[in-house]
Amino acid sequence: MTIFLLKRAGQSLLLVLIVLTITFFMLHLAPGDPMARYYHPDISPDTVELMREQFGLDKPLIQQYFYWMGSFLRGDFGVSLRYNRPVRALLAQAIPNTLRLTVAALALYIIVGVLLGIMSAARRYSLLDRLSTVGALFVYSIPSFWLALMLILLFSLKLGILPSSHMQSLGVSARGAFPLFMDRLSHLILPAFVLGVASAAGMARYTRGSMLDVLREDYIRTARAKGLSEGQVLLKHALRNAALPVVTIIGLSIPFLLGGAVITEKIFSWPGMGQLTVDSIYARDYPVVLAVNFVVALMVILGNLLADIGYALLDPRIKVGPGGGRSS
Amino acid sequence: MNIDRKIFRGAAGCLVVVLILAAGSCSGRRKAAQRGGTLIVGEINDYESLNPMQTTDAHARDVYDLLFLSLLYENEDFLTFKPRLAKSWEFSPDRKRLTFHLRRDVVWSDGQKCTAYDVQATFRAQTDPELVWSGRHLKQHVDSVEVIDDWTVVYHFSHIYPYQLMDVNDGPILPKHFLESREPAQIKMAAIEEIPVNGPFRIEEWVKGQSLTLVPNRYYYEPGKPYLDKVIFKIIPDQTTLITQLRSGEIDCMESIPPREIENLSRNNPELKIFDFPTRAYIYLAWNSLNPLFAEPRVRRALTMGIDRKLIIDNLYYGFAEECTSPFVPLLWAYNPNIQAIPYDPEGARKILAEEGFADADGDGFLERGGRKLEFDLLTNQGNQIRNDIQVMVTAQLEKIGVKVNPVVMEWTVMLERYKTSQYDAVINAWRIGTKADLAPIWGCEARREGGYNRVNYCNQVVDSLNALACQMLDFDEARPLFHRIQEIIYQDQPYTFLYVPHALFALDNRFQGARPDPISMYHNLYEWWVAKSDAGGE
Repeated sequence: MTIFLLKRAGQSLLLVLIVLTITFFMLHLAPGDPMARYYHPDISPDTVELMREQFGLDKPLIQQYFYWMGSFLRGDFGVSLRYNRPVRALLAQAIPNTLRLTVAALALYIIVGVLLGIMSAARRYSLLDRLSTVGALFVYSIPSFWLALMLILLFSLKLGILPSSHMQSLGVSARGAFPLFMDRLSHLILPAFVLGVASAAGMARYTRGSMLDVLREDYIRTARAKGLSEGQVLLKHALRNAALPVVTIIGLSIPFLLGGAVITEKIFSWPGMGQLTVDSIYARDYPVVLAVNFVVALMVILGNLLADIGYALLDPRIKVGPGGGRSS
Repeated sequence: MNIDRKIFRGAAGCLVVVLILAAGSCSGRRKAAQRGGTLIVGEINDYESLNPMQTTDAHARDVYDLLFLSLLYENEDFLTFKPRLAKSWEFSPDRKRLTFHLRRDVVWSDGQKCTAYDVQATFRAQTDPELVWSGRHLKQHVDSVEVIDDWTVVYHFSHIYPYQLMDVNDGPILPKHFLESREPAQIKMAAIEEIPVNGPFRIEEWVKGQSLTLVPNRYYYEPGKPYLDKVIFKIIPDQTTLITQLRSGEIDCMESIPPREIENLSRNNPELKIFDFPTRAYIYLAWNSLNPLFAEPRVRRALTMGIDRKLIIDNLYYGFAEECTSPFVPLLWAYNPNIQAIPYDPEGARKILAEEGFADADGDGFLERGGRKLEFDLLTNQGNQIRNDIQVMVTAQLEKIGVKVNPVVMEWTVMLERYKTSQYDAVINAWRIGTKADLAPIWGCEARREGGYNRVNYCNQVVDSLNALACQMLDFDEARPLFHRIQEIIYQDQPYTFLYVPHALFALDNRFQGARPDPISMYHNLYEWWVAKSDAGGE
């Protein structure tokens, strides 16, 4: 396992460096100038050129690349061209905000999706199966921005029971830890629902399909013949075997944790990675975009790695071998 | 006799009582400012930075002007000043020295006195070539800043010109003990919370992307002010949500209200007071004179005649804008109010284009000259609905006079790149001009250089000469006619089709008293705003 992890780490590092190099050159070669924000008659063109020199943007591109890569490999993500603050500080602010939202959303996505899938598979073609399938697909088909606005209209404006935007109410931090926690929880409900539950139909369909395949197996018939309860059959025998594709999906969803959800963040005024990324792209804030790219690439690799390890844990027949992949 | 005295005393006593009662009722009508209350301001964008050495954002300036004092406060005529950190000032007879006498009661929020040494240290930071402050060119004619004593500081100039006081005043004063304890790069990167303040407010909390909370700075030199307990700038990055929260009372104040909302707000929200005044911005359509189609002023005039600017103002701005007839704005002292706008006259436009050799030879409804169609790309940036609408209206209007317009919308930085490198035909853009009357940065022949702001490549030696002369005149009354003449020439030449000067529209809940927004800043006297205790409300 250790050799496997080390080999994967080496491969991953190479992959990340290739991705970042491509991103670096694509960003710099795309039209647009990070100094555009200073293009104003109140600022002398000579001053703008001095600022360009200060940020190193006057150097040849290849020189900028090596300078940036050198800093990056030392763990220095550089300074934001837009905020003139260390990129690390910006990520340190945005990442926790995004994680709050996306972890909650992912948890809802998995719990609701898997439960719905199990129920549908256990009661195949029943009214429950049909209703839950249609309902989930209906919510899945609705554009997230429309769903978000409708939920705000209903719960915030009409019923007034949930807040419409932001992560917390004004001044709540002064009221103590528990009120802050409850306030933040109330702010989390709507955006997490939009991100998580609305997409759960996809997970439900995968789980249902996977469960149905497993429920046809002989060992399931054997388990039932032995007199085990339906719950034990489903959860102890069927689910574990049906979980492999589900684990793949969960692994592929890990990057979403920090990739952010731009539309949802925008509508709910949630200051996370999604907003930071989009705003930085528009502003041509190269250091921030590259740092975010790095973080997301890392999450993709981590997600795949966790999926592989999850496979090995779920299915004893699967081993993570010295070849670096899975084998059974 | 005794009876007469009694009557006299009785009458005098009654008179005194009446006078006392009258005085009491007068003071009851004039409400006294009350302490307390919270103001919640809705803002569509968070501030990238509030560090005065780093940010160039006008909205950020509105806030940091509440945290830091500049030497003087600029009046809304952009010509005169009021005391602020400096209680008085005077020029030497030759105008090469400008002496400021500072208040002695100004203290930084860390308890240290604000002195002339802070003024000197600020100047050094502003002109530091390693720090590269965005306004450093404004101090180029200041040789040095000399401290005479703790409360007296002298600026020495190399050059006499009309804007010495204005340039010196640009940029707030920052503490020496902050500026000299850090490298230039660290000064620029410093978070606002690290910098001691001396203005009426200080920052209590800044939750990025959520809210910025200001509270009174207890060291502020005016006792009893600010009156408000708290001012919260609540970030709501969606305009519809902002308007909704203004209507519902979740926010008390909002600027940049879309003109289409004003009638609705006035009718359905009588508790809101709407402030409306012109801005220092103007929206224009730039014609790239490097394109042979737009090389001649007469052709540009004809195109302007084909654009119904009044319709644009009425339809898109609901009347909350004025037609622009000058590269200056009406707020500026040098503005020429006598220039008659080129009328909307499609027939007149067709006639001029015909005289310039354009004709519809192939009968497709569009004019050609020398085999080349009168056709061009009209650029503007995405994300600005009003500019996109202007694009649509201009396209339709010019089509009526035989001009084919291809509207192109692109991302702001890409559009700016095309504009800066003169790789465009025509573009819709806007300028927010400074308070100084100087046309050289946008209209000078020198400004056509790479990175300059003369992106229509306009060059008129008469304009350059008159501008250079006018900018040296210390007497604004003498300079005014020269500036008027320059504006006439530029308007005649039509390097831009000057579209309109938009108004600033700002709403404030009537509960809040004492607000006097002006074209310099909505919040310049925020420390004097107050709300009656019974109306205090809050978060």
